[in-house]
Amino acid sequence: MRWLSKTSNKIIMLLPTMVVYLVFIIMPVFVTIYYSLTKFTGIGETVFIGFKNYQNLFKDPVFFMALKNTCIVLVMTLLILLPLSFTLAVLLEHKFKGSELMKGMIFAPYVITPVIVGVIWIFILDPHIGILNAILRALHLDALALEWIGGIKMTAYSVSIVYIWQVLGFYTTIFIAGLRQISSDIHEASQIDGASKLQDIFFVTIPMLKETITIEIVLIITGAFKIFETVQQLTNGGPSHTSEVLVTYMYFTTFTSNRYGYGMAVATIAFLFSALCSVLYLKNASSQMTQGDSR
Amino acid sequence: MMKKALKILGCISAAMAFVMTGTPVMAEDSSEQITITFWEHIADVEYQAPQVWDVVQTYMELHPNVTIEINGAEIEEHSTRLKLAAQSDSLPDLFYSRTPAARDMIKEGLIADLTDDLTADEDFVNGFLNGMTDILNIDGKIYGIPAEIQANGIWYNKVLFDQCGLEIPETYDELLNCCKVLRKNGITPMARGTKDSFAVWCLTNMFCRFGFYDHIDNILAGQEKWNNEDFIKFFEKLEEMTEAGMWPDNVTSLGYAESKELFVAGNAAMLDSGVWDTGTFDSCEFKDSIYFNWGPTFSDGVGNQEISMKAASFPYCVSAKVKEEDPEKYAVIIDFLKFYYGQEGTKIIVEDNQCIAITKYEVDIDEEEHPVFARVLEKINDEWESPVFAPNMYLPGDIEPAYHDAITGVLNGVYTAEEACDYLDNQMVVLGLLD
Repeated sequence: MRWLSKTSNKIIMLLPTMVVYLVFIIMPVFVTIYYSLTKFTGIGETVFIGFKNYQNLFKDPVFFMALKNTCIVLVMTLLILLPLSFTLAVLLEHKFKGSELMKGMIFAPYVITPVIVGVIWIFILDPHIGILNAILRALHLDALALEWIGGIKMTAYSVSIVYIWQVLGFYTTIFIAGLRQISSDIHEASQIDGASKLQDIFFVTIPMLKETITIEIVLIITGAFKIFETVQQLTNGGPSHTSEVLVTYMYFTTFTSNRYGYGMAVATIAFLFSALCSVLYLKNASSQMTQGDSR
Repeated sequence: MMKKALKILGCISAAMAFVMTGTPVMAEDSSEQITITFWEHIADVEYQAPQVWDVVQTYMELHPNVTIEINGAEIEEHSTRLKLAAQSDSLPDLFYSRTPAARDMIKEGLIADLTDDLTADEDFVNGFLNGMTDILNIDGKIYGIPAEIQANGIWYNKVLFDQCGLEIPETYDELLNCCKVLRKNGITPMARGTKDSFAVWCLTNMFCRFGFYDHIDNILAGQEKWNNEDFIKFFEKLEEMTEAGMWPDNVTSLGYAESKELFVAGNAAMLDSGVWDTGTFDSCEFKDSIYFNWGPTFSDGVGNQEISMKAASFPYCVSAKVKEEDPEKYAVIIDFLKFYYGQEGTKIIVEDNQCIAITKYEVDIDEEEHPVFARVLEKINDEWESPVFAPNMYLPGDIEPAYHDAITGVLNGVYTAEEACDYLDNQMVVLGLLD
């Protein structure tokens, strides 16, 4: 153990991980930023054009559409995923017949490849062949049989719901792990003090899960900015780019439109937004925690 | 059995036979094993492009020491992997490429100049249909040969037209009337899927009937706008067809494959596609009732309305590296290309697979066995003019996706005619094409 406590040895131990992190995480960020300042078709020489790609981004209505849709996904996931995964975690923490099976079922979509998730949901949400509208029509609720995907209005929201369905199990699992960190003595103490179940959740469990919630929110923010395969499979960004999110638009401009420089500018913006939201939230959360501790 | 001889755009010369049989070279006698890597732009070549598969298999049977490894991928994946290969100087020996990417690769010296090897054989070069060797002709040098003919149009299921007492439409007004009547009878007028934005083939023919080639050079030079009177008229026709219910209700969530299924299942009266589907339709149950034409003419169109599309498709190219570093293998590739576009290869393409070749070829068609193919050949041989390139192939690579987006945007009801033109003008700025 003394060997491990030496700084030089710690560095040696960390070096392989640091190299991998540097080469595969840090370097690509800088390479992306560099290419975002160039005109490059993927073949041949790159021409340095300064901030021209960024100037063009702000004239591009499709980029703003993609940004708006990404924000819709982010807000929807924050509003629905966070409370839903917490509620499920609280419910599943109580042992009941079939609770283990339920956990498995909730986690199952997370292990399905997003491409398959997309295919499954096409058969549910397609306005004409989908099971959802078929059920609604069978129930004579034709007015509710909307264009869930493929339409202009609902597609971004439908994508959010599919994404939430897909990752719900993962976020629930994190909450379950967080709940298990709270000693049962604390809950017993609150019950002895006369707290109801609901009061126990709001005044004991949630405050004690602050760090878990912080992690979840950061993961939700970064996850929303990374969403790709589900959209690609479900709508391919369509119709006419109306369900495009930042990453699918980045893919389109880079690989379909062959504008590597422009695509990298979209990627850089997505990265900056994601990093900015996460850092601002983390800063705010840590200052609140510090204030809480000092009290 | 009624047989009818149909010529494909001209006669085969006697010398052609020499070209095919008298191709020089090598591999047949050589005992050295040669492997050629061949990348195609479709995922399952054996199923989706059986004509290519059959030519390759036959060539390998005739040349046991040659192995051609076909590697297929869907077009977008193919384009991406090709670029990655180009960046790492590891292009396959023979490959399909979109022309904009091919031009970039030529600039970098990655694609072989085939001129000397092809033009040395005058009869071989003369065997191509007009304009076919121009698809990747830069400064008089040939860098690629079209993979197939780009002949776009509309397919018709005459059974459904007869059911509704309709004739196959020749003009736009007739087409619009057919749409209304078919809709009234609960039939989808024209199968289409805008999830694949490139699947707008017959509409590009229509675009040519609204002066596409009269304006496009000036637009690309920044002297004119996409938002001009003629183009607005074209996009208004698309709006009109969309409002009339020409497309399936779920057009936005269908791709090209699904739209074709819709037509093959007899659930749509028309399909926007091209002659590459001839073989599929010739094996349909209702093949006797499948017809093809170049799409409607417009009373308010611009210029000649009898415009067809018998243009060259994107080309097959050869890696420059193989030409420089492995002359023996390069000779085999040239030999294979001469076989592919020669009489034997063309026979496999045309007679065995009912595909249209890009070379001159005379063929007897059994009209009972292949009625669709016979009708397609009649159209291919008609007098309608064709541009050398389809509009999307004429455009610079950067703007091509936006061009498709503008068209599908109107079909999806996302853009009006004016907005579609404005979108294209905006993209010209965003793409930096007007700098």
